[in-house]
Amino acid sequence: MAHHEGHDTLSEHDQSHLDIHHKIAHEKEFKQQIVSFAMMIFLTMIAFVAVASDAISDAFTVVFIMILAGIQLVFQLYMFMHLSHKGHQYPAWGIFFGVFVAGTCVVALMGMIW
Amino acid sequence: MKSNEAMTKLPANPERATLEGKNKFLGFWFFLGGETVLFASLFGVYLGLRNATNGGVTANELFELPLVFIATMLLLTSSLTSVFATMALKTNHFKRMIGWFVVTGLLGLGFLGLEIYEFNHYVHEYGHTIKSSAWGSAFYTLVGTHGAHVFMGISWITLLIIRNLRRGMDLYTAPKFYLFALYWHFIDVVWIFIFTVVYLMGKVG
Repeated sequence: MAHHEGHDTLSEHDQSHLDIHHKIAHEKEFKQQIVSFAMMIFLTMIAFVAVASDAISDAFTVVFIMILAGIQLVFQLYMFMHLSHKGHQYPAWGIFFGVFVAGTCVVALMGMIW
Repeated sequence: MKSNEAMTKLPANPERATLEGKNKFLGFWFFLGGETVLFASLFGVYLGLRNATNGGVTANELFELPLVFIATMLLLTSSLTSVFATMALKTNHFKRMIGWFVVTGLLGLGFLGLEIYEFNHYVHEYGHTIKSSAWGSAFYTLVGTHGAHVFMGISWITLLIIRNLRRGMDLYTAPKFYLFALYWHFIDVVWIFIFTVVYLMGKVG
């Protein structure tokens, strides 16, 4: 009984402490997600404008929009899909192994067909 | 009383709190790794065949950037709303989570509607079909496979919401909704590369 009571008061204290921490972390995450989203909209617009305008050479445009897509990929994986959070080591291995095989596959297929 | 209250509280990461949740979480990430390779094979073929127009309409003549831009905005916004849903999941707000997932599904439906209109337009106005050229085959296979994933996602979230609406949030339902959000973000990742490689690079030539 005494043990039970002690445990309860402790957990209550810890819980309120944890709640505050969670709330702060949650508000911080919310702001980060909004910033990420704004960045992704911005990057998308730059990519469309780069293609629509004739000011930039075609070869450079292709490299440029591929880099923009790469940055958006990182935003999606690390912010929206929470790959930066704790306990994502194995998922990171899984997805990046997939990305590695994917890159090899694209290069090989392009090389074979051309 | 106190301990009962504590028990109804969810842990910080309810989607990974049980062994089943952990397994689903890891397995789903590995599945997404495999999906990446599936789409890579279609992208590779597309890049190899994108100039094989068989004397028909070319990518530069066919694509209209405003339509693609609107579709991109729809899907990007739906990715944000499913992030909001995930945040509601982690803070144990079941109704709020369902609300954001409904918005996500509706935005997905809008995207799918635009894609159906687009394909229909290409086939009937330009004679650009899956059989008209090697480029046509590569285009409809790549973009169509992505569209099928969007359709699959909408069906998935619809069934999840209907099946679990009265169950509420617990350690059994949390992993299910969390994995859908991951899948939806993955669909958006693939679309980023489709609008870049297919549409924007098609306009560049």
